[in-house]
Amino acid sequence: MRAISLLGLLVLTSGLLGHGVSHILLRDAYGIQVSYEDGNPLAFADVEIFRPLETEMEFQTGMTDENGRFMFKPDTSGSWTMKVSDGLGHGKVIEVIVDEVNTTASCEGSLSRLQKIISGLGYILFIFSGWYLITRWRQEKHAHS
Amino acid sequence: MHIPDGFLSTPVTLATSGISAATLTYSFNKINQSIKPEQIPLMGLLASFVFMIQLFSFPIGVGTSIHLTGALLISILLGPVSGFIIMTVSLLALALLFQHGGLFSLGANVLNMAFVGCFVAYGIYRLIPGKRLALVLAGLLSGVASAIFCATELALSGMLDLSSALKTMILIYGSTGLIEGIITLLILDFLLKVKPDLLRVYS
Repeated sequence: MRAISLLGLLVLTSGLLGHGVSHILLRDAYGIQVSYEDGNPLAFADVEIFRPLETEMEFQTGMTDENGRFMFKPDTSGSWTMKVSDGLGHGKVIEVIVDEVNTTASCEGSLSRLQKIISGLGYILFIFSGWYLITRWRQEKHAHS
Repeated sequence: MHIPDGFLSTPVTLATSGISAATLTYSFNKINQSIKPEQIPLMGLLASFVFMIQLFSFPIGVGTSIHLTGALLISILLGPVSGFIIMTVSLLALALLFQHGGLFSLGANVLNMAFVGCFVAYGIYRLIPGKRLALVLAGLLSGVASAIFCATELALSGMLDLSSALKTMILIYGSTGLIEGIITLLILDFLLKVKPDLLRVYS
């Protein structure tokens, strides 16, 4: 995939060298920055972008920069899918909602890391305390009968 | 290693979820026959430990970072059946709160980390004579096995090329497994000194 995107880049830039090309500056692109839990960026990770309702044919492929960032410019509104993968089984599928006027994107808001850790420990202790109580109740019932 | 949602194809998702669900049912039935209620709080504590240890990752200098799983330690302490349940609960909490692995791909992640980390590692540990060497080798080889499982699932889903992914993943997860084996050895040696009654198998 990296080889293909590098090749794509080469093909595109070789065109720039050969002909007179005009350009305009684009604004309002959509960007993501992906990082591991410890804060280190997913540098040079493969990125695939799919148009809304499209799952087979990529709209764009590429890779994140060394800071784990990637920008793209959607050409239609809807729910875009971005797949980021570091090739080692880590990665994320991100839904980017692009609205009509093409200015805002929604992101998953969230709890802080500490809140999540405390909630996780809560879940785990809840599951095992429940199991403990049920097992004890069962054994007491068994002993009575 | 924590595969997110959307990376695995439907057949791979269904197959891995099926195997993991069957193993969980087996483990739960087996343990419910013999468990004493007093053992369950210890399992809860170890599940919290596994949850926390998986959140502490450290960079390894090639653009990615690794973390320990704790699966080997809990399998030696409580046996692979309890270990599998503990790992599954922790992986569920990690998926729900930290998106460390998706919910649909939970089956695959349970297979790669809980099944391999507990049953395969424990099997290797029991097969090899010499407890200390066996422990380190169990860490190393279960790391390699996890890498093979993970790479195969992703390759079957068309996400990556199997042979090149295997090389990188075996190198990274094998060395993680080796580190895990050595750290587990140090922890168990320490526990043997301060609380030997906790150790049923390791001695």
